[in-house]
Amino acid sequence: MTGTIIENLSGRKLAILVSFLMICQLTCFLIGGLVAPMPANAQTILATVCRDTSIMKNDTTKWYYTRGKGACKSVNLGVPHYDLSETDIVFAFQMPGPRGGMVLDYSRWQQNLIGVLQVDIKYHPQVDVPARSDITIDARLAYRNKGDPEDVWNFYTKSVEKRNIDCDIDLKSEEYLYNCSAIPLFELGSLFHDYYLLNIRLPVDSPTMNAQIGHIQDMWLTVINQNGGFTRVWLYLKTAFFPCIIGILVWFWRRIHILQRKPVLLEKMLLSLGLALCLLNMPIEYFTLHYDLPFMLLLSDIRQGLFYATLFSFWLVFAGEHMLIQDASAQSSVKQYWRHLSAVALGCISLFVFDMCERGVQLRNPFYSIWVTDLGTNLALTFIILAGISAGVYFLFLCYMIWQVFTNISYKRQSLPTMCSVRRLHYEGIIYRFKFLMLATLLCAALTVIGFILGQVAEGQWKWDDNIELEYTSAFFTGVYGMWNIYIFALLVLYAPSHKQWPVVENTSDTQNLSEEMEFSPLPSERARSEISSLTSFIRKTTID
Amino acid sequence: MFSYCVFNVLLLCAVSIFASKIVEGSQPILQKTIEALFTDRTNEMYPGPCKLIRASKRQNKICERDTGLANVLTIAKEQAIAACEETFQYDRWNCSLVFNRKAKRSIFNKLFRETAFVHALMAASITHSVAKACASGDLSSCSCPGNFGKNNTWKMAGCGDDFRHGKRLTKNFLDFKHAGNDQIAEILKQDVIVGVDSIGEQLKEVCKCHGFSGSCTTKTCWKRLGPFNSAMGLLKKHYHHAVKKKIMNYTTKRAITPKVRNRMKVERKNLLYLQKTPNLCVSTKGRVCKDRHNCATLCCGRGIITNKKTVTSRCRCKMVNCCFVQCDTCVEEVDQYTCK
Repeated sequence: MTGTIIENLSGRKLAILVSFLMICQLTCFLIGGLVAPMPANAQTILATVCRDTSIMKNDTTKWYYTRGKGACKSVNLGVPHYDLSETDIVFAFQMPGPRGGMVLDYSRWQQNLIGVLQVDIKYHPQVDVPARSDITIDARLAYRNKGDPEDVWNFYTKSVEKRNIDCDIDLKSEEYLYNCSAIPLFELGSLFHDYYLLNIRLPVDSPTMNAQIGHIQDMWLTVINQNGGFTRVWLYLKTAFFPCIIGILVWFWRRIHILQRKPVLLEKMLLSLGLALCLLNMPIEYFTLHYDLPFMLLLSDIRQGLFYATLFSFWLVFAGEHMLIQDASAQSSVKQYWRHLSAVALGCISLFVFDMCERGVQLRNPFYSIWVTDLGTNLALTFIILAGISAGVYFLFLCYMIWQVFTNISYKRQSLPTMCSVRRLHYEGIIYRFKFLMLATLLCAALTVIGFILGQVAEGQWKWDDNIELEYTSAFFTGVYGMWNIYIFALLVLYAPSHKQWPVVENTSDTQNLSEEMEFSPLPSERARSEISSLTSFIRKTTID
Repeated sequence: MFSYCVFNVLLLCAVSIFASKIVEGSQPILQKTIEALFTDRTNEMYPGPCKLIRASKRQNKICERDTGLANVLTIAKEQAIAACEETFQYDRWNCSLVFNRKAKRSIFNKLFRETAFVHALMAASITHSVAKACASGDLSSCSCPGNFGKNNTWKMAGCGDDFRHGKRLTKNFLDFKHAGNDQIAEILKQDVIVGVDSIGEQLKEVCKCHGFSGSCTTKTCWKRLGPFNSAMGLLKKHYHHAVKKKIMNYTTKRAITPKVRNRMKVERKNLLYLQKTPNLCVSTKGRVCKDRHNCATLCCGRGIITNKKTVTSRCRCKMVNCCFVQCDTCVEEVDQYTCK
């Protein structure tokens, strides 16, 4: 009969393994903190007000831009213009802005582009601006690549969007500005081209449209993109982890395959967890360097969601399999856990639907957001609250099950002194290691939560001295990513079936002299069946005891 | 003995003249630039890439590096003077270049409260316009001071915010490093920093969540540049809370001791000045004041003359579609108070 590796591993070896994993963990954290820059970068661009002299305003081949040949003539909105009508005004944003005396261009390593619009509205004593007003934006996006002529912009997408804008003012004095909320404008899942151009118009097709927004003085666009350096570190980490997880999975699968018995539920769960991690680790972002893949944001959400769903299910099954009260005669299967797992499924499905509604639709229209309409907001909130409730129910379930396992184990422990010393020592070891793994899970979860909270509270960069600066946000991401990878590596390795023979055959006893082992052969009731995980067999046996 | 006395008196005289006339001789670029920017209201163009001022070699180099800078400086200067004149419209010092309308009593003769304020104001204005020009793309040389010496390019590590560049360029343009380290220089440097920081204090942090499913697992924040006017309000507060320092010793060129420097650190946040402003009551005759309280202060208790005056002003303003304000011109008769 075989057990899992964790039961047969000596304390010294376990210590070595754990410290090795700890070092790996620390390395991941430090790579993020010392090598990678901040995960994302924000650049703020002030709009150039251009004058649209064309008669056809719907012409999407005519673009207004700030720099380069054929740049538009800028208009100062601060002084009155009597020869301009509102339809003649175009706010032009050319991305990226110049830096360090050079014309910058986007790199595909920068992955995605998110635009947030901020409007400076000037206070006028006579003009009343309501606290919340609607702003209708006609936004058009164009792109250009390196080598293209400077005045040729290609149409990318356009949309007329209605957004809410909340404004208030502290000091009501002329020349002062309202504090207006930022308007999320667009999200591009792929940053495939080199230059982008956003042209914004404020249409007045109906008398109420854009009538209440007040005197716009300036428009600012903040564009957020992932930092190339961060993408690089992230991808290299994935590239390093991916073969590891494949290797471990193959090894794990072979180990199970050698056995005469069929894999038990826990092993199947471990296998699917490994596969989910495989999917998460797959460095498919390399494709974005050559192909335009706007669905990347959505795909990475789905990959992460799948991974978390499998991890959460695994914890449930793991706790359930060590419950000590189950019917010993039945081979457990996932069906037994349908009630518990439905919470996970419901949460994941509602999050998935929400994501499809937001990022899925953004594939068609980057300017779309579910949050701007009341119906959309309610719908989104429904899904998110549903997901939150399922998460809550799940964690209650999980805590209850873990608590049960621990009480059962401590109860069974009382019967340990009646056993012979060798067996007792061994069983105590098993319980200790079981608890150890539970603690490891808790530790990982706690570290993630603490790290997240620290990141929210503390500043982005931590300084030790003048030379060493730690980029905390990146360190947190790579640290957490590495931690869950290592956690699953450890699970796969430690819970793989062991090849070591149990001391029924006397000559294989290694360090311990187990000759006085009484009867550790399967119990009569179990003898008919094939081998099962020794931990569960032990627990089941003690239940019968 | 007599000759020794005479020598002593002469020395004292020389030193005190030297101390009071801080702006003479080998005046540091910092003072020279700010004085030039504030004094020259004619928009005269000078040869050289900086155009607006008679620039030093170093400054010309900075202007040459980015041709947009001359334009930005003009905006900064106009913005600062306009904001100053508007804010100090009803104060005893109305942002004038001289005290009590006497051509010789320039505010730059000594280090008055006003001198300190003008330094802060100009520094703030330059910082603000540089940051704004970086955002609009008018200045192309804006560097990325957010990256900490990792040889990182923009593609790899992104860029810091424009305010930091504005701060750096302002300090660089005013030649902070060579401003000297005597008491006056230290005070002026601090005044400049107070001005720059007043722009920094107006920055508002805005954040956007863009993590897993749009949650806040990843959050990016940036600083939003406020309008110059709100920084002006803060600067005026600084003007009123400025701290007068004692003149340490008459040899102004001597470096200040670390002890003094430490004491100055405590007052890092305040404007500092050395000489008391002369009584400005003499010159407020004929000035227009706002209300009773203001008139009492401005007219130094001499009383007011009330006139009826017809004023034309903008009124019944409304927004024309999205972007323009259209106003009628109204003619009103209002009381105008003038100091006796």
